[in-house]
Amino acid sequence: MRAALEAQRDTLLDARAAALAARSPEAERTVATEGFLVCACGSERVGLPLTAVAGVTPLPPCTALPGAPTTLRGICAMSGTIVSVLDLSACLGLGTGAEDGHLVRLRAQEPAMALAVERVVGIARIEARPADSLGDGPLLGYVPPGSDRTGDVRDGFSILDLPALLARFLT
Amino acid sequence: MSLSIGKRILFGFVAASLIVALLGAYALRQIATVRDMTDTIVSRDIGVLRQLDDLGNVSRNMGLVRRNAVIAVLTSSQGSAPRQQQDDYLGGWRQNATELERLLNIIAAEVKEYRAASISPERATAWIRFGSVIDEVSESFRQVRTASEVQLQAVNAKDIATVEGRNDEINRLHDGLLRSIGNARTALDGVIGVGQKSVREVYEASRLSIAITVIASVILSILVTILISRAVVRPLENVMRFVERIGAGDLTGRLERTGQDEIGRLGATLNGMAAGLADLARTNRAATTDLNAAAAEIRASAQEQAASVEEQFAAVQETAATVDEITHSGAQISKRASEVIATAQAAAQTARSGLRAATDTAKAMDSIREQGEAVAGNIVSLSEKTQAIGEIIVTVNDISERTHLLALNAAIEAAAAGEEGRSFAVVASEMKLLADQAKQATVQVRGILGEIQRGINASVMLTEEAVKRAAAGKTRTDSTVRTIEEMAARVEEGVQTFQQIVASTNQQQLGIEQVMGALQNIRQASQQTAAGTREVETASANLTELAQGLMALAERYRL
Repeated sequence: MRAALEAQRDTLLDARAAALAARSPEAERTVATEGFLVCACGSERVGLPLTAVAGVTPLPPCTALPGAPTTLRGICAMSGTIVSVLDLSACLGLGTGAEDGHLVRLRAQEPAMALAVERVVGIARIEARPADSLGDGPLLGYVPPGSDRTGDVRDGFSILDLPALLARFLT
Repeated sequence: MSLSIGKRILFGFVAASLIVALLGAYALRQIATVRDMTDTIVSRDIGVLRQLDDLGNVSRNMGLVRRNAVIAVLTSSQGSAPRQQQDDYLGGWRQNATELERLLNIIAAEVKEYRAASISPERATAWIRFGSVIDEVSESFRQVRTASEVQLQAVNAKDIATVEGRNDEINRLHDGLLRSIGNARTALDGVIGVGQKSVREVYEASRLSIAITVIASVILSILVTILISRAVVRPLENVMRFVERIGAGDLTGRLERTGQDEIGRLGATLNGMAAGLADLARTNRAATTDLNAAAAEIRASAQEQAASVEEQFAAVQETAATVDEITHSGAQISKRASEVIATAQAAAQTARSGLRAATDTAKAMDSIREQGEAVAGNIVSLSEKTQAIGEIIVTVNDISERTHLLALNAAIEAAAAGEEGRSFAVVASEMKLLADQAKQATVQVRGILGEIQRGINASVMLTEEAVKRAAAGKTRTDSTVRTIEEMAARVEEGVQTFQQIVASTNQQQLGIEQVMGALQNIRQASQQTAAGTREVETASANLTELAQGLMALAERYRL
């Protein structure tokens, strides 16, 4: 068993070395792509525009606010500022999210906002954003699986209309 | 009339006794009458007779006095005689005359009295006749007295001529007086004869009346007897006829109830007795029928018993043969038991060697258990080390997670940097790839560790099971040791038992010889029983005949 594990490890390391040594064909082509931070909310995958994201941290403990809607999980102190934490699963109508997920801080919002997600899967780069909107929700479109040029995100995901979401919340 | 028999008989006896008592009283009264009459007659007649005798004596004395006076006068006329003596003759004579007159008066008064109180007319007539005779005597006495008075005065006057002249007449008168007195006695004899006759008549009348009374009482007694007979004997005869019918076997009749007297009660008692006898006869008849059936059953049973005795005799013969076979079997048993003893002793030796082997097995089991426990301890320490590995893997996972986020942030910053951050984005992407791979590796390690944990747990359980089984094996080996010990002890006991069996078989042989003797006795007893059964059969036949005779006797009674 030990020999089998060692053989598997060796195979893995060899494959990693070969992959790093080889020149990727996608890198040769300079195609204009758009980056999305893909997050998991339950069984759904949601992509946030990478430009709107300030950073990813583990979800800190939040202080709940009395009288707040279920979509507002609470507030927490982060880097000296008070950040309002929105539950993305609740905002999308997928139920309350997990307590020990990840927190996605957003850029240039006033007040400072962050989204609590179950997990941040990775960064996807797609060539063209689909233009059609998905119903009346805060989703802009659906990216089918295999659209990621980096290969980090294999599943398909929906693109979140972040301004619409925030506008709904702020109003 | 419901007088009891005792009262009737008492009444009859009282009546007869009254009749006899009246008869006796009447007879006594008649006897008293006769005795009074006799007393009266005897006292009167004897008194009158004595007075007549006195009268005769006094008259003779008068005659003597007068004659002496005459003789004295006549003598003195020829001599001289004292004068004094003449005075004495006259005084004596007068004294006698006065006495005689007194007697005559008494007699006359008595005659008058007796005539008035005479017992019978004949006797009154006799008394009258006697009174007339006494009157004649008085007349003669007066004549004699007058004449004698004159003569005696002549004597006193010494008138011899007058004395002599009157002497013959006076003698004649005196003789007449004496004759009258004799007649009076004769008349008195007649009175006495009439009195005797009256007494005889009264006696005859009394005898006749007594005889008539006796006859009447006899007739009355006969009447009472007949009445008692009618009152007692006839019902008794009815009862006797009833009893004779009962004696003849007719129990159907009943006496009629005549009254509350003894016969009536006797009739009721006899009716009860007849009813009781009828019940008894019925019971007797039923019992006799039962007896007859029972006797027949006894006879059948006796015949069956005879057959059974013969079967018993045959069974005794078979038993004797069987006992003989048992004797041979006992000898074989003794022989086989000796062989079994030898085999059991060999088995005991084998058990001892088995005991040693089982003891060794127990020790081996103990060492297995100790080794198993050591293995378990090693596995436990191994498990603790895998726990430590798990903690390390958690740390590695945490690091890879942080690296993942760090790579993401780096990528975000690179994206924010734009074209300048492109190479950094590649580095960040590689970092993220490494972090993901490390995470996958930790997942794999965690899975492998889980398998190891499960394997360790299974090993621990298996080792514990092995230890338990070793302990159970030890226990079983111990019980095997004990079992073998018990088996050896049992085998020893078996040896002793078989030795006892041999001894018992020998005793059994002796006992079977006694059984043979007893069977001989039983055979003889069976023969005697067969003879007795035949006698019982004969006796039961006699009993059956007797029961039939009893049934015929019981049939005599008509119910």
